[in-house]
Amino acid sequence: MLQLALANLKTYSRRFIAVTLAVMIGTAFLAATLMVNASATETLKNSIGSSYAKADLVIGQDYMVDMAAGDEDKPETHVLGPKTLKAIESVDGVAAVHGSANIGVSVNAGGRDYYASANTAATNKKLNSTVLESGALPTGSEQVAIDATYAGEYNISVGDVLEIGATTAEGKEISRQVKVSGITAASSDPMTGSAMSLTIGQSLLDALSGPGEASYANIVVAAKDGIDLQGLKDPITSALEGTGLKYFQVNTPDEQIVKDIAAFSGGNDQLTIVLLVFALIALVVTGLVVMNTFAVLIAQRTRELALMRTLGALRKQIRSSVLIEALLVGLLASAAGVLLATGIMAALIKILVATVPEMSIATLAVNAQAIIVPIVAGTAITLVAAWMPARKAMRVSPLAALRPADDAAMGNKAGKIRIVFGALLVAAGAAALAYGAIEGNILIAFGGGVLSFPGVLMLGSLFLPKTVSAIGALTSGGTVPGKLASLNAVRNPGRTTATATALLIGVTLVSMMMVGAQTAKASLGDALGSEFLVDVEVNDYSGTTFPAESLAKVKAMNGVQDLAELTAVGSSKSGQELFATDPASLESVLNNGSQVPAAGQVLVSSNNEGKTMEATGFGGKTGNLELLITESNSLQPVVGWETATSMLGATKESVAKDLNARTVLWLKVDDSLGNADLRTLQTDIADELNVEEYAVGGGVMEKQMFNTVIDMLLMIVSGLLAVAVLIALIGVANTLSLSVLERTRENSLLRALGLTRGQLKKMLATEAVLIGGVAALLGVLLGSAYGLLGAQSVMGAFGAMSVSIPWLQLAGVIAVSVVAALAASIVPARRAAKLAPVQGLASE
Amino acid sequence: MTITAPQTSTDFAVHATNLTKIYGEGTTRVEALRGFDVSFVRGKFTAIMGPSGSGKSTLMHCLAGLDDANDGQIFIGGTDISKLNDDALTKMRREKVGFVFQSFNLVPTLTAEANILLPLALAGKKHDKAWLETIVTTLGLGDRLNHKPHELSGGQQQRVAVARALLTRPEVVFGDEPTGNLDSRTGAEVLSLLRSSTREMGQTIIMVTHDAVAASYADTVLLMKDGELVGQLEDPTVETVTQALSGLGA
Repeated sequence: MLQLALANLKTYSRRFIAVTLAVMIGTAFLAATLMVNASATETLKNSIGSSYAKADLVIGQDYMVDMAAGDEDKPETHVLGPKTLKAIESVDGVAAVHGSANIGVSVNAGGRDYYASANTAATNKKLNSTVLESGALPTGSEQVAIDATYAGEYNISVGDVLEIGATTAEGKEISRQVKVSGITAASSDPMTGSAMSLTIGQSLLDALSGPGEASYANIVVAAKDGIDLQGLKDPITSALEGTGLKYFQVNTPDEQIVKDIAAFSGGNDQLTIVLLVFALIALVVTGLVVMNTFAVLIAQRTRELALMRTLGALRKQIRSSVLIEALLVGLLASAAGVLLATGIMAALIKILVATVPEMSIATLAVNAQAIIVPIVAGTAITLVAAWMPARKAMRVSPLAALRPADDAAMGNKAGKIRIVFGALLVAAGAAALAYGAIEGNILIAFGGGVLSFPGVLMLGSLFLPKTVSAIGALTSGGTVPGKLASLNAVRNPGRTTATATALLIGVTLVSMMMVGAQTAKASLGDALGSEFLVDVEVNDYSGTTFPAESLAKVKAMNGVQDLAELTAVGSSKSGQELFATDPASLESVLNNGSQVPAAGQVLVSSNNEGKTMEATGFGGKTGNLELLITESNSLQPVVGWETATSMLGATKESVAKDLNARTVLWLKVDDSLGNADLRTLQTDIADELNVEEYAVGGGVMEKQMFNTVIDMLLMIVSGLLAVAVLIALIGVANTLSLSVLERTRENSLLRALGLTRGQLKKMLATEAVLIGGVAALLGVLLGSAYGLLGAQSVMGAFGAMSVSIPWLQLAGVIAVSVVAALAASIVPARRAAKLAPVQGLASE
Repeated sequence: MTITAPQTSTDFAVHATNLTKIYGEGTTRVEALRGFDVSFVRGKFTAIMGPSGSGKSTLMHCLAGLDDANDGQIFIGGTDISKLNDDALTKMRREKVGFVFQSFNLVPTLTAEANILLPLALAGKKHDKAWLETIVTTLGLGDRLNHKPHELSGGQQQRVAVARALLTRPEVVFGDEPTGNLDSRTGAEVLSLLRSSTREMGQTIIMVTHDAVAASYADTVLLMKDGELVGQLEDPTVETVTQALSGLGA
């Protein structure tokens, strides 16, 4: 049987191309997912471990052990400090020690404050991990080195003087002028890589932390030559215990790296799980395509299989010959898939290393798991998918060999059990989905989706061929090729179902994500609209007023429609800062224009209760204001100037002199502003008003941030699902090309009877478009329903859902499917059209 | 109608009693075989003839165990095959029956040699090298063994099929219009080979044909009409066969 299977694979290798491609893409996806995980771990290892890569031993706090009661308040039991350093230094066999500290400092450059993380550099060559690009490592307490990325960004060079500030352990604010001694290479440590990174000497650390109060993230040790490292652990441990330290661990760098990664990579595993789910979807689609292809391959070989049966092949021998073929194809294609994934990942990482400086240490790791799991999974999927066709092959009767070659039609009646089971799943799933959507419970809704979708697929044989033939009848336009195409498309309902199902899965999931994301965006937009009463707020808590000419410039900025100036006039009894503004300008910036406080009223957030608020103006006059409560829960109380003057005794002139005087700005901006425009606007406003960028915020910014996140997620998810759609489209091409082979006789007959080449091609194209189009259409409908219900169950907590369907995107999905199906028909149609009428009739 | 009264079933290579085969039901009911006994003597070349629809192909299918008879018993080499399940029937077929078909029916992906050895390969048995050598030489296939079917002429393909049928030394070789797709010269060659395998190797052959020339190579011709045996010719010639056939109204 192996001989026969090999001979088949060799002779008919072209017929296996589609199966191989589908399995290859599916397994490549799985392999790449596993490689992402392995590579991320490997990369973390290189980056986290970079600070102690060259050390012999690393001493760190032990976070895995819970502290005993009271020890929390005794720093000597758990803080690695200068005393700890001394204790280790005195141990016999230790050549050098260095305490790596990592403290937060503020850096004033170009008149602005930035957050920076300051790390100490070791003076000992063996322990130093800082790489300099220019200049020298800092010495003494008046020098620092700065990382290349930020030095470039803020135009800082060697010799510049910076002002840095920090808070000591005792809570004292310290600031100090320091000179830049050198520029260091960009940091790759994910724990420090995201902020400006300074390198400082031990004495500056002492100065910033307070005398004797420095605390280290870890202490690295260089041992004298020829010392046994494991043997050195004990004396160091006892020396440390001598200082009263309880919660610490002494490790070699390799041991430490393993522990650090375990603590750091929790989120990484989640990413892997999400990716694995998509890989699983891709594999299920692959399975459908494989099943379909094998079913057709068997149909083509009916006569040959019958001959084998006549000559004495047992049923199980026929089955095993098919399964051996599947095994070989699955194995080869899976191995090719792993190779493909390795190639893609290697290329991606190369690009990453070349373009993103922080990722310069990204490393490709291919572990045994990433090779074995995809090969086993791919082969298993292929085998399982080939099982049904193999059973069909087994039932071929020996007599089929002796009868004239009639068209091999494989009856495919949906099993009753499958239909009943499918219907039950759909009913239960739909109920759970509806309940989840009504109750706003995403978990129940998700369960409903997971239950109902396989149910729908099981019922596919009931509605898919019928829909195809109904739509075919509608669109045939009465032409012969059109009619023949719609009849051909459903002449083998089983095959049509399997082909369409593969596409249906992908399209359903893609459109579910699109509709869900769009609806979530719209609903969030509405929710944010009532939460944030204004588009943009400029609120610098450090207390500033803005010159009139700056305000005029801001108001004139591109995209700014209106501006209201809110001035602090006093405070409520509960301590809320109270603002006053001009009611007309307030009305122009509020998203809900009706909520303008009338005389004696104060506009407040939803956190306020009761009917009135007692407030005191800066002049000391107290009054009772009537509450006008909004839906927003983060809103400073606002009154009109008239109210402020009459009830609190505050006028524009009087408050300007007050120490607490400050101004908050509310802006209304153009709805059409995009993400980039908003960011530019934010920067421009911050620059003009001389405030930090984070002081410029508000509803529009939040909405844009949410939208960006949703768009990004949607893009990634759609990209992942596109793999499944791609595999499904290969299935369409495959079904069609095999149908053409199978119908060679019939197509020649049609040609002999007067069907032109063009008509034949058109007939096959119509058939492909019918199957692809109907699957896409049903997928979009189903996906939209899932998307809406899913969004409803997620957004239920935020209140009413705003239904929003991305018509254009959905139409795009259908268009892509139809065009791809059309493209899939080109090669088979050309082959069929090439055949001379007589040729086809003569062939078997 | 009984052609030959059997003494015991083992005297014959193939022997059937009360053979009945009915297709369809109601108005579409066709009695393809109307319940008759038939026996084939070991080591003889028998041709079954009859007009279209006479039931000659159905008879062969039932005798070879390819189709189930509705009633009656069929013995091949003394084994009652009507009681066998599918696996046993399949094993019986590969051990005791050889086939030569009209349309050659070789497995297109396998070489001529692999095709010849296929039944033994399916049974997981080693072939008798000397016997293979003899057959291949007799059939003149020595230099064609590594060719795929599509690289062989029609006559060569049919000789490969004959070799395949003879290799297992079966109880009986069934031929279904074995010369139907061959020109007359090549056809005559194949028929001579079949006759000599009977004469020289003692091979029992049962051939279904409607060609009087092909039937004239046989030792015995059985005539069928409307699902029944209606006549028998010994040592037929083209003339006697043609005469007998025209007597049937064919």
